[in-house]
Amino acid sequence: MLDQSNYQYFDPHIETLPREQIAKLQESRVLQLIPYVYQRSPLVRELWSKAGITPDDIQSMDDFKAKVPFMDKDTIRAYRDQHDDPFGGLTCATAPHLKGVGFTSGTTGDPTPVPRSERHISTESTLREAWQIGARPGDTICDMLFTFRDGLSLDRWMEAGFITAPVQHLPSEIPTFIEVSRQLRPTVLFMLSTPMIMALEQYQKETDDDLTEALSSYKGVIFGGEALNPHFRQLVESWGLEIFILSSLGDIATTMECKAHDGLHTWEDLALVEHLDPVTNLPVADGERGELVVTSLSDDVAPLIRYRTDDLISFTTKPCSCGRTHGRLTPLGRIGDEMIVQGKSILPVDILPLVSEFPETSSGLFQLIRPQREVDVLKLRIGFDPGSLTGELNALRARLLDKLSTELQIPLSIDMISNEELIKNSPPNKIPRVTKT
Amino acid sequence: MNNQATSSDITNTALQPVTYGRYFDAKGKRIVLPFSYTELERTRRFALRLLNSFHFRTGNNILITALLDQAVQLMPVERAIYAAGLVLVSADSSIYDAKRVESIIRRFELSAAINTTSATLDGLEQLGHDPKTLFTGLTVWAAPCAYDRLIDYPETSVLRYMEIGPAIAMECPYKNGAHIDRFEWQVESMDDELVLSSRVERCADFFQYRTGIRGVVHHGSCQCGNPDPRIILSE
Repeated sequence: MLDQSNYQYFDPHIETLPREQIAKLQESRVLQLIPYVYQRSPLVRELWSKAGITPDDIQSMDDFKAKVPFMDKDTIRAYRDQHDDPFGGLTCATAPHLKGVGFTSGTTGDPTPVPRSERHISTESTLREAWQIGARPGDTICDMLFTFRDGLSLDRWMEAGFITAPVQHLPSEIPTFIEVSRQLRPTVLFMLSTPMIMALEQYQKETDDDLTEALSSYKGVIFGGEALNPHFRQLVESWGLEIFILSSLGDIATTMECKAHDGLHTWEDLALVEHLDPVTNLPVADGERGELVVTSLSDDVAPLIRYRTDDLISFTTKPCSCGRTHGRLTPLGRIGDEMIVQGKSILPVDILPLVSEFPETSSGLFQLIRPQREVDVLKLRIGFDPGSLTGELNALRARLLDKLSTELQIPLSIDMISNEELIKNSPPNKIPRVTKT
Repeated sequence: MNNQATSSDITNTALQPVTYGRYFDAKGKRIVLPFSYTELERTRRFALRLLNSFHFRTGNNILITALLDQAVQLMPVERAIYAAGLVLVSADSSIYDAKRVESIIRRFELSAAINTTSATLDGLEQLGHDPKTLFTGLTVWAAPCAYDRLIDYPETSVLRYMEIGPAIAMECPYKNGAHIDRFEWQVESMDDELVLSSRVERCADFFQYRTGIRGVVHHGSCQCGNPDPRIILSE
């Protein structure tokens, strides 16, 4: 067998494809996709009919970007509701080619279905990502994914020769995670979340176990689901772990940092990435804030076409020092989470580092109360650790108010609530950062 | 009780594992279970024999609720669903994901649900839903923790789904006991305890492994036509 220990890339020719070759590949795939999806997807036909276009109008990538209408989660949900179609008009195939249905998280309503064949598109991206952390054939991946709402496809790692060790993503399963880590010596953890980091910290306090030793086999741990609190980054790194931030590439695939930690690599052979001004729909310059819009380039079951993700990102196509040529993004937040406070844009990512500075609120647990997008006063609900409280709660509130008002330059009101209470009814991987009440 | 596995050295395997799952021993301790693609394929065939005794049709939607570390047990069932031309719909079997389960039942025309647990039922009730109404008309393979709560639902066909040490067993439509893979396992009842021996090579072999589960084994024919033996739990 070929010794791949020094191979830098899992899919070397694709991951380092010159930009002009990426563009050609994308155009080929888009032009093949257009008639296929138009003939099969009722949602696409409806949208295109309203826009007055047919596949004949799309002869190039320029045509595609100029003429093809957008879709978003609301479009899919509306089609689903109007036509009693659980797939929201997206499916281009039926069983037996249609094998399964995964879902988005459902944070903002009924989960959106993600129909698929037996092949998971995200397999391609996760294998590249685990490889760039340092996993090689024969290595074990500790799979601690938030949920398996895409099916129990643990054999998807097999294509790279990786072996999975699944562990529940639950704070109560930390002892199991430690035991599995010691027994099987995995090289990659997929993946950590804020509550799991808190649980590891608690476990260490209660048991005095040596986490640095227990987790020493890991070449990297993948963190995702939300922005990483700087306090927790420091904590995880103190256990000798290198953190790799991962996010969803618009429900098509995953996107993750490489060892350069200079943005998350998109995979532009799998998804056409557009980076657009959310208001004008025009392309945004490299490095500026824009909305991620994606088109699936290798999905024949339910391809998303110019899907507005609601994700605000900065994006660059400049080459990465790792040698990969695919564009890199930095997640900034969700448009649906954005609040305008007396004309100023505020996202959870603006609040997180400020709240995390205080020892009592270093967990960075907080919620923006968002009855509507525009408000005069930003209301925050901030979680605190009663065990770290050294004075009056009102004094902590006042310190937070002073810090946040000064830094953000907006009017604020703050409710304090214990961390335990705040996470009590939340899912195991994160708390909702924005809530109506 | 004397629980004995012939091999606990998971690094000394002839078959390459595709995953390290888990099973629970007679004392409820979590034990790592290496599992190969060969075992996955064999267990898929067992699950397909079981599904074939139902009259599901191509395109019928089947919900599996599970937890990630049940992959060894339920990944083969997923593959059997694929092979039968059915459509797999997935959710976690946790309280937190009950919202998704409710949405799936409301949105999708489900034919069956596999591994329904008490956590899902608790979550549904906490959200104000009546599981009895939600599961009306479905075939439901209930995990042991939920079986007794579901069995009284008159409009639901409630069947057993069980983990028996490293093996799984599922009931057919005739409810004459839960079928277990006869090619994979030799199953006996010793002193009213189910005892397993693996019949073919596995990543981790088992010989007269005492599961701690009380029950008897029926080897006679079943009306469903599936000759896999059936396990009936003792009261």
